[in-house]
Amino acid sequence: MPEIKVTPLGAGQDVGRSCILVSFGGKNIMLDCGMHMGFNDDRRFPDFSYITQNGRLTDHFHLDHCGALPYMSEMVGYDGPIYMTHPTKAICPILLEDFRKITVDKKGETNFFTSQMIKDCMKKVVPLNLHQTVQVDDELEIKAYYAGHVLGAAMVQLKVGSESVVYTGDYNMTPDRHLGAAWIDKCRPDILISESTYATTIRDSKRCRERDFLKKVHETVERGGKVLIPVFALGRAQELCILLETFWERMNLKAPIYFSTGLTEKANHYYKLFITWTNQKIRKTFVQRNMFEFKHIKPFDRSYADNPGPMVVFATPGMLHAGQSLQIFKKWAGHEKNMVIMPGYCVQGTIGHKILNGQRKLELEGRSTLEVKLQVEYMSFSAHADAKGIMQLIRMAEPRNVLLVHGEAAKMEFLKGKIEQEFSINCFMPANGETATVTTNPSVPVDISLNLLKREMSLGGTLPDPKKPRTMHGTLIMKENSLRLVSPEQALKELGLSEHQLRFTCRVQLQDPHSDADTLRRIYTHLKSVLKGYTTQHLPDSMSVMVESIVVKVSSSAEDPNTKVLLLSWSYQDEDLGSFLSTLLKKGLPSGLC
Amino acid sequence: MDGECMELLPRVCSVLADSGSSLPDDTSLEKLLDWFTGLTNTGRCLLEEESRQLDLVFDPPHHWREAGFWEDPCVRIGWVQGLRAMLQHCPALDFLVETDLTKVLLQLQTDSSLFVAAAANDVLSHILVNQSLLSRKCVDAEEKDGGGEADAAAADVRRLALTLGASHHYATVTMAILEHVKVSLVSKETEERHQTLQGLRLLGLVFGQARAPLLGVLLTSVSEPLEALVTEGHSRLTLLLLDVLLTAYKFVLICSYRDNPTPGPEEPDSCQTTASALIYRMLDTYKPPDVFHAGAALLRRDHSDLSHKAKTAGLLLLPLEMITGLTLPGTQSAGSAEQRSSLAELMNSKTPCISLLCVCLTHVDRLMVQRCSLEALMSLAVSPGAAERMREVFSVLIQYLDNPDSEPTVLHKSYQTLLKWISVCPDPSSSMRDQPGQDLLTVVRKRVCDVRWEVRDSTVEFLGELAALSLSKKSAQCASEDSLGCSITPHLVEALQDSESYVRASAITALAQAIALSMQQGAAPRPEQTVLVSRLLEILSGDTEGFPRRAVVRYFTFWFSLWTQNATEPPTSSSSLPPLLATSVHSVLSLGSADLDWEVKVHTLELAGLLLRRALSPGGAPTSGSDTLTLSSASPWGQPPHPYAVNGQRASHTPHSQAGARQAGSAAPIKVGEADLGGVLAGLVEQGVVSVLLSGLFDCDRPVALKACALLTELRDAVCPTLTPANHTTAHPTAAVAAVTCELQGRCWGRDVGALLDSRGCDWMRENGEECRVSAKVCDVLRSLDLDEHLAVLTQSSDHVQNSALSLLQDILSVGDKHTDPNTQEVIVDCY
Repeated sequence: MPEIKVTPLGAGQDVGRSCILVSFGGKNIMLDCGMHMGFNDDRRFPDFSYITQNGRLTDHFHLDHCGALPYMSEMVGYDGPIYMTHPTKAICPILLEDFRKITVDKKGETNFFTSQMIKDCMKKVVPLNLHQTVQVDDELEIKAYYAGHVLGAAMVQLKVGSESVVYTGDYNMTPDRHLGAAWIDKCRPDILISESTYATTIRDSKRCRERDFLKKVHETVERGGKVLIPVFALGRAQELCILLETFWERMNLKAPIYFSTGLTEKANHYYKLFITWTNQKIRKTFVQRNMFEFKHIKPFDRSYADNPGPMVVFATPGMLHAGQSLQIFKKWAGHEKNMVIMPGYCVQGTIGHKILNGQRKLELEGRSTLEVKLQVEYMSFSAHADAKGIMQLIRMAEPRNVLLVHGEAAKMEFLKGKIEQEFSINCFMPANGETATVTTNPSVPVDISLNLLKREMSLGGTLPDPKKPRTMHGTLIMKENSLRLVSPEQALKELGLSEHQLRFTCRVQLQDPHSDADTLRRIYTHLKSVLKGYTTQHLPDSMSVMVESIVVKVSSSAEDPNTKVLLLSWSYQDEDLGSFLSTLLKKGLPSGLC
Repeated sequence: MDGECMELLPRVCSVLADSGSSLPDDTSLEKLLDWFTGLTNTGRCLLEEESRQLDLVFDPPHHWREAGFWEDPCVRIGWVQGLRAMLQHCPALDFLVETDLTKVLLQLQTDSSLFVAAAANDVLSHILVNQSLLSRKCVDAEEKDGGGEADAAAADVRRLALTLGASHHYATVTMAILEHVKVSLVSKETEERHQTLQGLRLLGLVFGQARAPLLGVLLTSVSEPLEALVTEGHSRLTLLLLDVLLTAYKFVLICSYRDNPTPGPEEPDSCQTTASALIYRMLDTYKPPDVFHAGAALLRRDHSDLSHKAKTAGLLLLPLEMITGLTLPGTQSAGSAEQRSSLAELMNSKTPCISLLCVCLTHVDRLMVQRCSLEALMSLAVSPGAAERMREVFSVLIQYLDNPDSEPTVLHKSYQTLLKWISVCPDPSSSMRDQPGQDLLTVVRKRVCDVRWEVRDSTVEFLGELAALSLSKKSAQCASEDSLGCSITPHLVEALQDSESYVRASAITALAQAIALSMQQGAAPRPEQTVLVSRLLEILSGDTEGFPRRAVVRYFTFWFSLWTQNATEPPTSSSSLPPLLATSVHSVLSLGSADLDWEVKVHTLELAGLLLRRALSPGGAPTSGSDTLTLSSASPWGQPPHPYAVNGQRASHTPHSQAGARQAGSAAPIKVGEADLGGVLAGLVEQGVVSVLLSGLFDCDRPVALKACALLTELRDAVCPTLTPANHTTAHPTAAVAAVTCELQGRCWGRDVGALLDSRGCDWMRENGEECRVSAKVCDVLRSLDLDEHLAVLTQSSDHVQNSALSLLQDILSVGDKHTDPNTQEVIVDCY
């Protein structure tokens, strides 16, 4: 039996370093090529040596987790095509560049990919459109679906013959302020590989979280405090910018809002450029006012941090581990009236992680310490599907199997139970390095004769449409290791056989105190009134009634002339009608019949 | 710090025991293990202190199975890694034998987790290869308490121990592993042959490291199953099997030379013959496509045997021969009739045909045929007689470039191939003047306007590299005219307007090469150069993207360094700079140091560094102690790396080479005369160099501060050296030097410097009272900055405190505190 094998190198029962190998139909595809931000050594990248060890080839990528991509293509030496959606291709280098700058800034690392490598890698990328099927080679095709999450995020369907796999990447089933909800058609893949970050969470209303966020920012600004929001240049930052911008406008607030990096300008440029990828509301209001042209949010200069009075600053990086956000944090940490809002997760080894864990005394360089007096808030604005959303997607796509990645083991286990219970399908959750195997139905290709197709066309009228399957009638010939569907006449001719006609007969007894001829006439009248659209004939000479090919003959029983014996006979083609008639006549003739 | 950590350790252990696996960061445990490993590696042996715990920890599988932990692959891999660490100690092998843990390890070799299986294989090969030596040390101890075993197995072990010259325990383990491998090689338990594959992988690992006599013992014991595998010809096993045979062949060969062993019971020569025969058998009997994959692998592995290679090459040419109908050299005797007929069958359908051709043409797994042939063409450029084929190659490549259907990656490869061919041509400029050269320029002109940015960028990059190549040839002939520079510059200037920042940056880099070409030819700055300079400065001040701005700074740095190298008279100060260069450098310094992108600032500091050194060492060229500049000092004549590439060798980015650079700097003393120093310093202040350095020092981005700090230290050591251990008398700067002041007012770093000066009790000029500082003496500023301490801090990673072991332990403890606090909210691990 054919098999599909899925081996996560990263994101198997964990989060970060997404990298999933899929093998089916003789193709090896790598889905995502992510990086783990929690490590400073080689462990930040997936271990690609396992791919060569297995003698496997990595043919193609899909990604929205792309951190290790330049490493894979420029340092490990992968030279094949890489697939991404248009916005991802445009934005991915900004993220990679941002990440490279932070990493090099932090440590001055030399064994890290360069800007040139990022560029060379992006030159190898083949862009995808949503819902467009791209033929990778003769057999493999891919198709992207909208995933929400961040601009350009896509789910991807891979198909070889009749086998198919859907990989969700990160997705969001509820629309937010700038993006729509993920969507997929009922494509019934053999396996759906889904992220499961929020596997056990039913998230509270987004509105509540937003209100809470705005209230906290507002209160701090009102009492003259400064608010620091460490972010990465893309994704959450844009969502929060829109949120604050609208609030400032509505409340007519005057405190300045700054964004600390020039990177955002480019990011916002792409958000404007790929407006079709945003949600309906943004697209509708685009003509009057572009949501990404902010009136209240201005670029930040480092000297502003010392300015007196309230302000809100978005600064990179998002985990307070280097650069501007860290510098501002150090300046503001000592004052109770200030606040830092962490809108996302922070890995161990960063100041962000420490303050989220409640540490209030931080050791800094040169044995100095920093007393953290400012208010620390964690508010996740991450756009993942929650447990309900994941179930909803499964309902949408109707997969034969589900495989969970990108989540914590314990939470996955819970969701796996729910999925298996509700959908009665298998759910897998392999750890990194483990392989999940599903068997699929073998695909049996059959050739159809042109004549048969033409005949069907002339009968059906409409052109063939892959979305509307139609039943074909024909004779299946198995000959010389091939299967062909041909018309019965052609089959007879080819195989040198003669045709046999098959008729079904059936006897029905009927109580009808009339002459045979009258009974026959009464049957004719009855059938004619019941079967309006059919050709019904009364043939008194042969004492029979004909409905299409069905012949009904009447004779009297030898013992009792009132008991009539009806003999029905029909050909194979009118099997349905014949059965119907026999059932009908068994019920007798209506009394009012003349 | 270790002391503090040790104090925290017991509490950390209890938090870990309590919280189980619910640490919010899944890297914490791994990092903790890193720390332990670091400690054991540096000789602080935790294991020794805890040796009584060994049994408990390492006799676990069944304990842990009961608890359900063994199901977790992380636990299994942790156990394997622990075992591996333990094996560095002499008695570990005894422990292994006594507790029969080899069995567990061998089971894990076929674990369902790829990682566990690979780790187990790694340990097994480690035991076989390294434990042999270690065990010898333990032989004596063991001999004393060795009992008198009587059965046959024990006798075998004793014989093996004698052959290998190793301990009894080592022989026992080796025997067990060997038996297991032999069984697994022929095991047909599953269709996928997982066990066989793992056995082969282990053999591959061991053959690559083992030496005689172990290698002989191994080869003899597995030669039979290996032969069976070759006969079976399972395609899933082909590559791995071939790898094992090639490794065996190669290392037996090496061993026989290296060790010159006394002929033992297993002759290395006979082993080699066995391996060689099996390789031949594979090439003779395997069917396509397996035989081609095997052949390609053989050539790729750089196999030494010429007869194997010739046979393989003939085989690989077969598909080409079949397609072209030509008889190719070496194919006449290649391939058996059976191989040929199955090849013909395969070549009838498109997909296998293409993939076969790809394998055969490039020995690469899968690529478009075009790209394969381009790669092949590229490697042919260095072969003898290439120059005669130049025209032909040019015309093929120009066709590729001209073809509207060519993919961006194909065009990119075509450019690279062209460059390679042009580089072997003695005079690239002259080849550009010929007809093919002109054709090429016509095509390039078209491609520079392609709708795809990838193509435009590759084209512009090509032009820059072409100019660099012409520069590097420095031929007298091409110096006489500047046809190349003239023909490409207008396109590059146009590319400065490109909508894609990558292309703009590449255009600037290419222009730097083109201008170098014209400068080399002694051309005076043309009027359009003034226009270009102002356009570049516009980009530096206004481009929204970092790449072009970085490239602009590099452009001027390159220009400046070129000028210093080409200047005929030794300059005495910066005033001798050509006016256009002098004004632009000034603008670049002020614009670049105020940029938002820290890499622009670092590049600006590199320019400042050049100016600094030039002023301080009138010899001209920046000499020792200079940071290597990617564009300038990697010789302007070499292939320059991309201007915004982080160069692996760049001194300024590694603490180690930073120190080296400083040492080199002090080894080559500054040569400016005492009397001139004041003037030089004043010049540097006037040019804005000092201001750029001070601004950089207070930057929040570490590389900027580090670079500025290193340069300021250099300046301080040159103009007002401080007390050093070697020199106990404080050198006083001359009056002229001491009198030089710099502006503080209006600088964002002015306040920081002012505060430092205050703390040192230095004077400065004030205006209208205390608050407004106008200027300060440069020497006072340099001395008040604590540059050495700064440098020590900056050479470390900016998060080294947060990434220390102490910080990790504190983080784990704070998680423990959090668990006990019911009010804390859950931090969900999400994506970044």
